[in-house]
Amino acid sequence: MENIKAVLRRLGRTVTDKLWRLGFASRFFVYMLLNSATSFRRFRLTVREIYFTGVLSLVIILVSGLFVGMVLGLQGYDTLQRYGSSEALGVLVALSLVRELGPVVAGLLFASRAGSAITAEIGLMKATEQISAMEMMAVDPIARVVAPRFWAGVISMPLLAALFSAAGIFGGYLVGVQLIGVDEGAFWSQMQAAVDVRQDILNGVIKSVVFGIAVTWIAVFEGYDAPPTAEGVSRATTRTVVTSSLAILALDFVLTALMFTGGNGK
Amino acid sequence: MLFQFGALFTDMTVFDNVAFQMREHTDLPEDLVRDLVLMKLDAVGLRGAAQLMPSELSGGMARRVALARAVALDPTLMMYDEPFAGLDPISLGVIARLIRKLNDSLGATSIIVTHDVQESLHIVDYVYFVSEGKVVAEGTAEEVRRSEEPFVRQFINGEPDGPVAFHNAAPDYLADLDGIQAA
Repeated sequence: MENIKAVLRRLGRTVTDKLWRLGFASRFFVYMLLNSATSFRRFRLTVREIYFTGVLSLVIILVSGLFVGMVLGLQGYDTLQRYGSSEALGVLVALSLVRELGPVVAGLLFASRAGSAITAEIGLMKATEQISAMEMMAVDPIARVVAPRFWAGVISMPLLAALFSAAGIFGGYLVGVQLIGVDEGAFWSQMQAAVDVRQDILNGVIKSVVFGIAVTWIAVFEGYDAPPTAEGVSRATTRTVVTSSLAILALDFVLTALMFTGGNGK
Repeated sequence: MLFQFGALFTDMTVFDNVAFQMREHTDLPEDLVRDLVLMKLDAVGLRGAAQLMPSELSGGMARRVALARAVALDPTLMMYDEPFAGLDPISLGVIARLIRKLNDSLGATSIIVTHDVQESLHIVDYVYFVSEGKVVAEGTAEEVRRSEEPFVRQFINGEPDGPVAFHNAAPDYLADLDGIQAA
């Protein structure tokens, strides 16, 4: 009986702790939004962070997009030619990328490359008392440090996802048209005819914006909440990548269900 | 406030660190900010290091930059957290004199939290000894030097025996080494 009580007590404490942390993260999010004016009034602060989170992520995004597109080209051709519709390769590559793979894979790469860097940077600023120093100078670190990084992530993520998709389509073109010999006119014209700006591209952009908000929120919160030790920052960085990745996949399912099934009957 | 390890912003140059508060809290033109920053850096002897990054500074230099940043807006109250910790003797002497000089020229009140009794007694007006959250002794530097209070004597002379125990409470040493658990 005592053992059961102890297990229940531990379970209760764990659930309470998780709920408390979620509440803290939500209040942190609201406070950050309310104190975002600095990020736009002094936009160069945000531009600087866009460089670190967005521009410096370009190489991994473009290279990964290219290879994903090339693999899609090979796999898609292999499947489509069995049904005699290899000309639809452009459609398959483009829809896969703009609807699904672009936002999701770019989001996962963004979480690993930029999200972890944001957490580590803010966590180390806390560990080396830079955050406390800022507070002592009557400068709000959430407005000065956290909010610009958050908005930089939100702005960068859809741009990176779009570039990922563009690189992927180019990869699919290289393999499908240049390597395998699918008709170039059919490849592009079918893609143009089948890909709808509102239903496909806009929905993909909405997904990437939501992923950008989720990943950057998790990254800045984990950094700000990290215990000010080497181990604390290391654990926070790991949590950022794991939580962001799971959040992206879960949100992707929810958004896909809303956009492509119940929402518009496609 | 001066933090124990400087707490300089590692993504900014020395110049930008010192200019930080001026840019955040005032509308001073950049020309004036530049002049003021160079004056503050000159006061701590680091005008030539204005364009260095914090990672390029030694511990003593970082502390001096932090001091220049702390006095950037001429505060009337300054707090120093262990300003002498980990400094070589030259940097220590320079920073101690600098703290006193800045205090006098700014007409400020300075509170120094330190374990370096000897150095601090040279520059302070009044001393409080705090132990376990309570003031256990106080006085001017001269009064403290002449004090017969056991705590003060032990602290000033760095003696291992006295009111403050050097060793934490622990089981018997030999028994601990032999791995014998006390009953």
